[in-house]
Amino acid sequence: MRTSPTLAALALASFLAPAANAAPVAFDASPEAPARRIVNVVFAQYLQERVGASIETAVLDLDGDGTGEIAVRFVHTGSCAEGLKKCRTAVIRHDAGEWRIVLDRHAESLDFGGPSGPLPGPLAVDGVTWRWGKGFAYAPDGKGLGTEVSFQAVPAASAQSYAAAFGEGAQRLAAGGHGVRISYSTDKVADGAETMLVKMEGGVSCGEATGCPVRLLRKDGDKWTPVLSTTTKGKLAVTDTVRAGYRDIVVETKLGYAVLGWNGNGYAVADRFESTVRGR
Amino acid sequence: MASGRFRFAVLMALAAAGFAVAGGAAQAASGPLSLAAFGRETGIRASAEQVQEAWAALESMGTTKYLGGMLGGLRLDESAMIAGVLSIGAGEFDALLNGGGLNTASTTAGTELVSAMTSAAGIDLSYLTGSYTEGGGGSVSARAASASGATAGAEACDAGVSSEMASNGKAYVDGIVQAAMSGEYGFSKIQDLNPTSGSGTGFAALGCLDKLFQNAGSDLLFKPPSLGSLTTQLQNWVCGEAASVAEQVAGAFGNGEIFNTASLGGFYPGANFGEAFDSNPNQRLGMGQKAADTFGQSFANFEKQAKAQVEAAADITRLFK
Repeated sequence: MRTSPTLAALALASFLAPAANAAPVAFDASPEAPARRIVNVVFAQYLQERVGASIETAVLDLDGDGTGEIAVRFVHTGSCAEGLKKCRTAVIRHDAGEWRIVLDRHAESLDFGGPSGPLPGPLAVDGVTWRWGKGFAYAPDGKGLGTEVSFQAVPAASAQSYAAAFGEGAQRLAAGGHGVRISYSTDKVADGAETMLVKMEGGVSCGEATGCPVRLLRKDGDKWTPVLSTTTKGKLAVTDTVRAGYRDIVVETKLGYAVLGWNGNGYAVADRFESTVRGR
Repeated sequence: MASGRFRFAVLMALAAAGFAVAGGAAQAASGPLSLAAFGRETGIRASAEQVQEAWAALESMGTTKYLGGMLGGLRLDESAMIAGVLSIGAGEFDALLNGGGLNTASTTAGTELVSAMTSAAGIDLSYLTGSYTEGGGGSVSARAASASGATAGAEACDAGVSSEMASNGKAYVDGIVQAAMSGEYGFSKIQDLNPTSGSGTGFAALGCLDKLFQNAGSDLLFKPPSLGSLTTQLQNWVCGEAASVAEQVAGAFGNGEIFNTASLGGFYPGANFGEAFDSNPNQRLGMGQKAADTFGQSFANFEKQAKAQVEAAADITRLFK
């Protein structure tokens, strides 16, 4: 289907519009709610495993086309965390002949500001804005997910020694030129320990699937020890959440963002803000 | 970090992928059309310069030594390795092949890597790389068919070659067993390995012997019955059990009948021994199945060494003198 320039402009406006006027979505826990029948079918398997779950639904018109989309919240010990406050919350949309999950997340609140164009308008999930994305599903815009780390370039003369943090292959890669660029940041990540974030870019250092390699190094005596090996497709941020002295680190993935938290021995994925791949 | 598990998952996915060789593989010659096929098959839109850059990076890192090697059942060729670099980055790809993990928080990276590498395998990019490795990708399903005796596929060896390989294979394993049992290198020398002197660290110093068990050939995942795990067990077990483990080492390969696979299409067609391939459906013992059901009578009827022979070979006084 061809999109007219006007529609395209509206779509862009919708995409860029913040969820400033968003209001909480009013869920209805009634078993007679019109959306319940559809939810019961789409989430049949999930509900079979959670007998007695309270199902709250709301009908929204995300894209202003007069056809409703459904927001659903499952309240059950097997669906919620933090004392039944954060529960699985999903949005389903009828598209290409079937109901598709376009947002799926454990959340405490869901806000919607109304449609502003032919594409579904933004949603606010626990204060984080999710916008309609290329994957025909919602993806977080990343704002509010920590403070972006400021990197500075490592001088060319020192690049090879920094490259050692990425392994022998990477070190040889840097030694051979190949357009490798290394940058570092000493932004505070850990309390009581000297740390440094190092990122490798340029040439073929980064991959389509993973992005660019990143290491968190900690100074132990006179040596720098890698305590986190990961990648980012773009953003790298630290949050105010501190676990055993280490701040959470946010990296960008192909589907959104992953939050890495210190588990006492190393960093592990603590949360994900990622688009569902089931949009279409 | 769970990168090891991630790597294992990637490798198993490669093994399970089936490797229907990419459509782009059936090309007449290497040229710009090959690059177009690479883009079409992998979904990675790389320019000729990027492909050359990826290849140059692999050469600089020494990663090209893995060309022709097996990764979870996928035979690595130039295009598969280039797809790997473009998927996860050169340094990370090198680290992965060298035994590291897939260091990423992305949930889709493993799938994308497997998909790109298997799709790219077989595409001739020699006009950009200067070389082309035959047989890239391979096909697990073809080998499985070959193993069942259904067909002697393209990968099957000539009977003479197969027989020669079988004979070499048997000699290789015999040599390993002999070494494990010998007074010069084997278990009997364990006590002589002083954990406090030099580089010797008790059982860890058996590294040279363990190396004998590593496949010098092509499959990066080939893990013959692990001497490492056996010796660790030996270290902790009582002596009576140690003899039993030694018997396993000696008896694991039977009388060598298992190597006579010429009638099945070649040397170990479709077979991958070792812990990493425990889930291979072609070899897995099912509920109620006997070894013969899976491996055939020749395996089930192997001639075990007489108990006295084993006891002599694994003499406790020699083992831990």
